[in-house]
Amino acid sequence: MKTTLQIRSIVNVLGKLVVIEAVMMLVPLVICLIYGENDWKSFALASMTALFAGGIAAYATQGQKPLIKTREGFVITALIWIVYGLFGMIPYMLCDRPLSLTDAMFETISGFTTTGVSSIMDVDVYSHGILFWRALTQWIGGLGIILFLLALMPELNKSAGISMYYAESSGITHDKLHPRIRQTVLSLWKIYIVVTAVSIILLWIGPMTLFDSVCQSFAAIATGGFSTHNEGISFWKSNYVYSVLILVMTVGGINFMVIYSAWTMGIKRLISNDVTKIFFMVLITSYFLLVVSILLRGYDFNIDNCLFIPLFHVVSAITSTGFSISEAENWGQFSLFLTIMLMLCGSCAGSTAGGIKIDRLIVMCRNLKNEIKKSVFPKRIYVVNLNGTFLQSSLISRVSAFVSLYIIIVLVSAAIITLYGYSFSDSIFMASSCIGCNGLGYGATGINSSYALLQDSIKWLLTTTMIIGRLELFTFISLLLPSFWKK
Amino acid sequence: MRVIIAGEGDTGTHLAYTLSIENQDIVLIGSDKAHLSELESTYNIITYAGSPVSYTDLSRCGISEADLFVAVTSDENLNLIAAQTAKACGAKKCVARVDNPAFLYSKVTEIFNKNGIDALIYPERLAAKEIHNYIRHNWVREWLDVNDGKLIVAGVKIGRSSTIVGRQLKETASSPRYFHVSAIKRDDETVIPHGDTVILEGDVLYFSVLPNNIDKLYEICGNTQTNISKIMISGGGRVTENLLEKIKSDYDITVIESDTERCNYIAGKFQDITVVNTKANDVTTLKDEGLEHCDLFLALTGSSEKNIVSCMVAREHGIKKTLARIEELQFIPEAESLSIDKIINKKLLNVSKILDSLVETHFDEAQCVLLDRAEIIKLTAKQGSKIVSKPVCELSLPTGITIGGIIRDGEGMLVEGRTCIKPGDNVLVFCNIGSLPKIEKLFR
Repeated sequence: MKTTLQIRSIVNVLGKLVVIEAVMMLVPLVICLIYGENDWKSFALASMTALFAGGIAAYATQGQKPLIKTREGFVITALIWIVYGLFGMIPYMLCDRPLSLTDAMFETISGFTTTGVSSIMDVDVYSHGILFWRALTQWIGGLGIILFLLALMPELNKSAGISMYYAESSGITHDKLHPRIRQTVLSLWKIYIVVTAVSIILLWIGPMTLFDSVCQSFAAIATGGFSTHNEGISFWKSNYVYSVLILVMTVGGINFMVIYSAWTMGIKRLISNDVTKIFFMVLITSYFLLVVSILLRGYDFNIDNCLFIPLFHVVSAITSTGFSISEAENWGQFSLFLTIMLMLCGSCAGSTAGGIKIDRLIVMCRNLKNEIKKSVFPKRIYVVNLNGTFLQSSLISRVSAFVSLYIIIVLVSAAIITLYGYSFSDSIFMASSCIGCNGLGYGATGINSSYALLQDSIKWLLTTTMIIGRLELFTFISLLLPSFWKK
Repeated sequence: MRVIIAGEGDTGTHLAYTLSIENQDIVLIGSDKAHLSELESTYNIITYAGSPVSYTDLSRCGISEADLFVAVTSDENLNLIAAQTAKACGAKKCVARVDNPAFLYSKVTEIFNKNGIDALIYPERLAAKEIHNYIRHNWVREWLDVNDGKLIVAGVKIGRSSTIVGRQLKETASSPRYFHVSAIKRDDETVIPHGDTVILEGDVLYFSVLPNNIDKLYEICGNTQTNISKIMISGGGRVTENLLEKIKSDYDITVIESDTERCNYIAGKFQDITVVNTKANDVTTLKDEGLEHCDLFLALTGSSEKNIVSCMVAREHGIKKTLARIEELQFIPEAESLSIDKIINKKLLNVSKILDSLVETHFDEAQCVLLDRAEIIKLTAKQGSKIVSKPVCELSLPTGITIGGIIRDGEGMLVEGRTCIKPGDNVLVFCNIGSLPKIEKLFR
């Protein structure tokens, strides 16, 4: 195939990045050794493979000055999620209870994209090393693989890094905190690490062991949703754990840029932000609706039924964390509807969460309102404001395109899943859960069943939608256009 | 006194003209030679072609002896640099015109003051302030708060229903006096009246009045104050932007603007107002937007002709009050005869503001308002000056000068023949243009 893309440069960068993944795998290896588990071998093997493959790729394409422009940045960003998945699945396939290729890939991508759907039926029997690797993939994927690598590799701190940063970061517009991309990335990581550390300490004080609190914190702040126990968060039966995780997940659903400016310039910034305000409004409204629907179904009026469990579920759904709780299965159709809506909606852009994102929905709603008004007064000018600045119409049409495409992908995936005989609501639920990097399950994927029991082809489909959803559609889908590869 | 004006645009020209009548030595520095020589042959001024930021050109104009340097070219950055250069070259006082509100931020102004710019003039904001005043007091043409409203100068057009039409000024006096007629504008002439002057319909009378007597003045003038709730503004330029910043939430406002980009900008910045993208002469759309229900129509586009016409259209559709921004000075009398209620001219406002600076170079503290061909100057009476020596009636004030009122110890009061002005009083002097030297004698 003839192309003007700098394939050599792309392979070179990818090779170097894979070497970093090899180093990452040493952490679960150490954990295995600490707990005296056999799985250290699988991590050692996986790490060696990655080191080898990455080293060869980087060495073979060495010498040439890497030429990375916007398109190359797109390719690297999209491919890195797949390549990291390929090497990241090796431990799952080689451990004491090996997974199949499909399941291992599904599990790894679900981790990196912070989706949190799992192809493992029985989590409790797995080694600490594997469980930690699951949590670590989510934590790295939370802010984004590229963002993680930008922090580690100073040589990417050039125009190359900027195009990759833009390709990965979520939202309508891409902002920087500092003039240099590396400073921006480091500031974001600083926030991320601090919140994670606080969460670990808070959970450790409670009923959790250190290992559990680290894994749970990683999953919560990254809004991932992998748990270390079969019962999920219900395992601890502790309202304290619920409250801490609600808090951490909520932070994970707020734009990290906003958190950073709130940190440096006062908490007022957080409240004065349009998107954050509406995020909380949506959260609280859905919580009340859910509680009312639960009470209408005849549940007792007590603190568990009215406060912790519904609130936990709503936060878990809107922030795309997807910590499942068994009670949600019995709350009926309205709860199901509300959950799907929250999964589609998602949180603030620039957070670790998935979904369409509140920002886009605000823009869509305001634009809709304006269009309705315009039909009465055609010559009036209405603009869409977001956080006090008005958006160009080109951005609005981009947002509309995004939302349409998002819905189309959900519908098409759901249609394919129904062909396998799953019910309509289950299919829609699966599709919106995976594209939104959410990880909740219902019915066929719910508490009495599992994503693990799905057919392989559905797993591949869902794996793809997870990556598409995590990279916010355009980055990945533009790679499928023939014109992207041509001269 | 030597005044150097940089910029031969309308503001510069009008300023040169006004000041030359005041018997000041005016030097106009500009770039268009043909235009400059034309000005030199018309007005009593001298012109130089050159750059206002060049040391040699400024020295040629005699910058070291200049009492006032005014930079009013069309380029605000040039003005700022020119004013600083002039100060460095020895000009006593420097004024620069800007068209960006960012420069009026107090810290920025401080920096400029340190660098030698004594005053910044931002015409759009002056215009917005004037319009805002008119919206609140729309039965008068001019409204001037002296010392935060302790004394008010109101310019009122006398209508047919007024109780004082056709009477001599001395007949209107009541006891105690609650107003003082300080100036009358009639047929493009502004005169300082005396007791025998007869008030005619269509005169604009400038009253000095204490704030608690405003109601009585309102009664005798026969004008109606319109309660404003819905305003339509034609033109979305910088004047409109400045005005909206003051009044955006107080009224129901519709802005008409033909430029789509500008519409987006205004609609994005001010969310509560209605912005319509159409031309001001698109009457059908204006009607759809509720032209008939508006209380006030503001024509603020850059084109004087369009503004005049759209005001007339608005008047035809029953709008009670209209205001037009007119940049061409020669159109103002015509516009006034076309029953447009209020006219805004940025150049006149500029010149007023610049006169402040000029008068300040004479007297320590002064405030100045230009009324076409007359001026209102607020001065502080000094110990030992002629003005405090005897009662007002014995001062034998020269013709063309009258005292509108004084502010004593923070309270406004009117002046009668027996009143003695004390040192420290703020005196409001009305005078014809060109009386500055006479006033200087009184207050020195």
